[in-house]
Amino acid sequence: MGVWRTSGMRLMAAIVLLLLTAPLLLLYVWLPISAFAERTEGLRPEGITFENWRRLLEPLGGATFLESLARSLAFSSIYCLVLMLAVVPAAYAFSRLPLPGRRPLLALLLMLHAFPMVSLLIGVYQTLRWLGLYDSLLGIALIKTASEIPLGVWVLKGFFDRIPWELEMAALVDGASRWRAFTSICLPLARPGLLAIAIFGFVAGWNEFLLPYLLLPSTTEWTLPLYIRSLIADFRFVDYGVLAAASIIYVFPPLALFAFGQGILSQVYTLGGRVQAQ
Amino acid sequence: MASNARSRLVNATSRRRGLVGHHLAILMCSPALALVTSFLVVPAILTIRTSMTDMSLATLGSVRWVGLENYRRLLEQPELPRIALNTLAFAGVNLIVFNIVLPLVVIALSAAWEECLGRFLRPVWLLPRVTPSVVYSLLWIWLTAPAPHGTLNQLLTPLANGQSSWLLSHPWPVVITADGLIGTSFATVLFAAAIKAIPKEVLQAAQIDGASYWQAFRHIVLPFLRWPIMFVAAYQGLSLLASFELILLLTNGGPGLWQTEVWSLYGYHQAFSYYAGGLQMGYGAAISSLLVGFGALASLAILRLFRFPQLTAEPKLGAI
Amino acid sequence: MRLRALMALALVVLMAACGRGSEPASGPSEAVGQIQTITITAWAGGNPQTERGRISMLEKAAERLNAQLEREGAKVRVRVEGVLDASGDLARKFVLAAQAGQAPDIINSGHEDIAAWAQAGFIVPLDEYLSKYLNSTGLKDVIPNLWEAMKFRGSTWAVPQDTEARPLYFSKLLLRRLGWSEAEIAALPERIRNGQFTLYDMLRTAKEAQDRGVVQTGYGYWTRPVFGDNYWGGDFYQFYASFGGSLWEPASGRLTVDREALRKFFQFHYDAIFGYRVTARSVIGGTEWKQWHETVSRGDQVLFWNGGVWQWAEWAQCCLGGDEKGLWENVGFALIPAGEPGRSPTTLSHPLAYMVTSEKASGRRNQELAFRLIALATDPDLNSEYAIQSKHLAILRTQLDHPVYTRDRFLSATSYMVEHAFFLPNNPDYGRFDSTLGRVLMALAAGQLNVDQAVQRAIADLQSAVPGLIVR
Repeated sequence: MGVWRTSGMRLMAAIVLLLLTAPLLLLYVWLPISAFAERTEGLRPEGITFENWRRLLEPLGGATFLESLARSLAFSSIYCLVLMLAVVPAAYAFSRLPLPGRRPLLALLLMLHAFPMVSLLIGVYQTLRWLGLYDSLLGIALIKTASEIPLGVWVLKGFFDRIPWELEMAALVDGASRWRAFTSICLPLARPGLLAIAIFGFVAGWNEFLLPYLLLPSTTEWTLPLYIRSLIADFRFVDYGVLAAASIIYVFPPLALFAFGQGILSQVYTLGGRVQAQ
Repeated sequence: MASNARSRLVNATSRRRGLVGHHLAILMCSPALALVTSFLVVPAILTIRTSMTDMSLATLGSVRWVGLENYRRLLEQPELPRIALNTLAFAGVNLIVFNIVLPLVVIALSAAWEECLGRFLRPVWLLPRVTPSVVYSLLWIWLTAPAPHGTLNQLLTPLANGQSSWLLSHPWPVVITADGLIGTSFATVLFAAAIKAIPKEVLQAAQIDGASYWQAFRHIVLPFLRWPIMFVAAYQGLSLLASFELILLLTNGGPGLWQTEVWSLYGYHQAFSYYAGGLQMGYGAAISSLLVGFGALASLAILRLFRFPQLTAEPKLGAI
Repeated sequence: MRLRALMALALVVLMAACGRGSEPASGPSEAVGQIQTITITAWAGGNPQTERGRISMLEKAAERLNAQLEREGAKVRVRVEGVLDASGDLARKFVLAAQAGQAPDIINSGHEDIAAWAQAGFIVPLDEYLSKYLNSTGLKDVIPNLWEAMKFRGSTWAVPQDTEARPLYFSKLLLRRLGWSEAEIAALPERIRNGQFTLYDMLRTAKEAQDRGVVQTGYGYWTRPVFGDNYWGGDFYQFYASFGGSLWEPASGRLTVDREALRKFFQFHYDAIFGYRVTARSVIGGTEWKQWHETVSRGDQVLFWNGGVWQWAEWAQCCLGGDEKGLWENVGFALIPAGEPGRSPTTLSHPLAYMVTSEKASGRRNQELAFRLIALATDPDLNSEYAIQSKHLAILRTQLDHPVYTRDRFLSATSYMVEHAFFLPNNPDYGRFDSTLGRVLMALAAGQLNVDQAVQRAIADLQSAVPGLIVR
């Protein structure tokens, strides 16, 4: 904005900003400190060691760290894929095609976004039981997909809306089918939106804790958040060093994805660029 | 001219292969709609249905239909006003302080240092959003633990007696701050993008005209931010009304009698807490159903507010 | 074309990777020649470092069962697939799984869960199997009064797996610093046992220690830590029992609450936290288990604290490098003192038990085999090994003379406590009783209620939460 006049004001701005950020820094700086220490008192480490990283590989009695990590990767990737497969065609259909009941369906989708999955857990549990999908990651993936579809469709629809329809029309005139126009013209142009939804999807799958916690009693099919939770379980002596080490590895992928995709993601937040100045 | 193009197009349809119009639309929507129906709509109906039974650990062998009994019982609970107040306060303070004011402040301040500091700070502010809740809650527990383990107490020991856990003695500030910081990054990115879209000439004109910083902010920037702020208020507001995962992990609704218990957590406790709730799914479903109903009404109101019809204009090429 | 292929591939990968975690109806069995191997699944909760025996006893019993089956010429063998769950959520996981028909064949849990699970039809009564197998296995040897804790509505629903006592621990080191002689310290457990040293004597001693600087403020008496979701009232109700209160009427099976005892129970905790100020508020509301264990086991920080006999093993493991010597030097143990002169000391015993799940809950028909496994696991050799590893008390009469068991100094020194022990009720509403009362206790501890308010609130809440409650 460039309306900061004096360098004195700039300095004050910097100080206030750092003060505001300080709690966050304090919070997170503990992670690397603890990961390399035997124990910590506050932020002061006692005994620098690599033991924690070695202990990370020891079995806990449920799934191991590496198994949980692999399962989280698989789960997030597949969840991301399923989400895309559901959201992308639907967004296009809402944006371009003569869908019967289009407006009520769009309204319904927006309202459904207000149905937080957590309030529906009782019904979700019964549905999974009925489908025989209780205690399975597949069941959890399907539920989570359902809860992310409303926003995904709305956002991607925004992206598709921005693509000039003349391009498609030209293709249609030349004899291409609707589907062809969709795959060879629209999709490439909507790449930022697709990437954004993919990133969101992956991170959402990666971070999901409450659903597996409640609906996956098995101890051999852990995803990483469940593994980490088991480290701080009631009957266990919490090994904060190992916990910190596991957490650092866990935080890394979403952080990397978000950091790299920042530019794209800001477009997503503006619903595909439709920032309406009133 | 347009009619020529149109008739060409219509003629072209007879040569086209593949699915057209309605059929294609339905097919493309079907996975999404199937998933949403099975896993959002059906559970919603099941939850409402369960709310009218007495399903709980004690009755699992013989669940009975009880109509509105659970709702009647809920409204008689002495702790209900407290819980409702907690929910509104939690959502409200969180929304205003951490989802609107703080992001604006951060953006305003970092505009002065866009390149170097801004670039460093953005990932830091992003951290709460990408940290999984189990780890994030633990970080806060550690930060606020009593001495000698807690960071805050360690740093502030010269000033205060480090005996108590901050989380225990001041649960609300800690919970709201922890939860708020997650939302701050979301709003920051949104507002920053919106501000970037302000045409530079307008700001420059204001500067030339001698407008003070505050005047420029009020009369130029804020109007551009109206839509994002409204969007954040609606979207985050609704999410906050129903969010409880972090509260569950931090204080579990305590300490003591319902101090940090919010509506959705109350429902979760009654339905899924083995010892504290006796797994009263019927009663818990009633609590959740009310929340869902409220959310539905609120989102209807929001649809009105955002002029829904304008957002859903009929697509071009619709008839083909 | 490409997209369609991609979709098909994705679907295949999806199905493969996210497989189901449970097993089909009759359990996996491989037919090797004529002999079928049936997998019996078992869940137990506990500390993986000390209580793994709950599962491994079943595994060893499987070997013995297979030998028996071979002698009988049966066409089946068994294999145990056990899970030791350290999360503390086992009961909930079990109920949700049982409702979904995916419970394990054997579940090990606290006996107070019997009532709710029996009522819901998740576990089977064992009377028939008991009469069949009692005399041929270690079951006949179980200490008789333990069976009382396994009964509900006239039937027996579980087999005891272990039992314990919950003593008052005290720091010998700090008492020495306070000026007590070795003789006085050694006599303390006996004085408590005779009712000569009461709860308030304890609070006064703690206060003295604080005033003289022997312990920090708030470190005079520590209760069990409560943090987040882990409230479990049993330990606290020892103090209610110390004042003569009882939780239920075994004859009718109904839960009870005694007004006077309840008042004194609240008063005691109020005095400890706000009156004598020997209990830091953060203990009862904000201390995490590891921090609690580390602090008390050092023996030089806290003067009195209330814990469990099995924690002796845990402290040796977690905080003292596997060695009990430091504990014996610095830490002593005794019953929970009587509340006031004229009353008796007490302790809570909370046996864990093996239960057999019903077909409705597990989807399988392995009940008899599961029972036989449990019966064979109830064996003095197996159980004694488990007992000394985890510091739980004997459940069999022959254990009391068993060489492995008697060798353990700690178990010998604490076995008298079981004579003074009481059990928790076997009533389906006990869970709600516990959490309702606990919430009021926590509010009192947080300073939100005074004693009178707490008593009123507790009785009112309990009456609405527990049908059939008797208020005396």
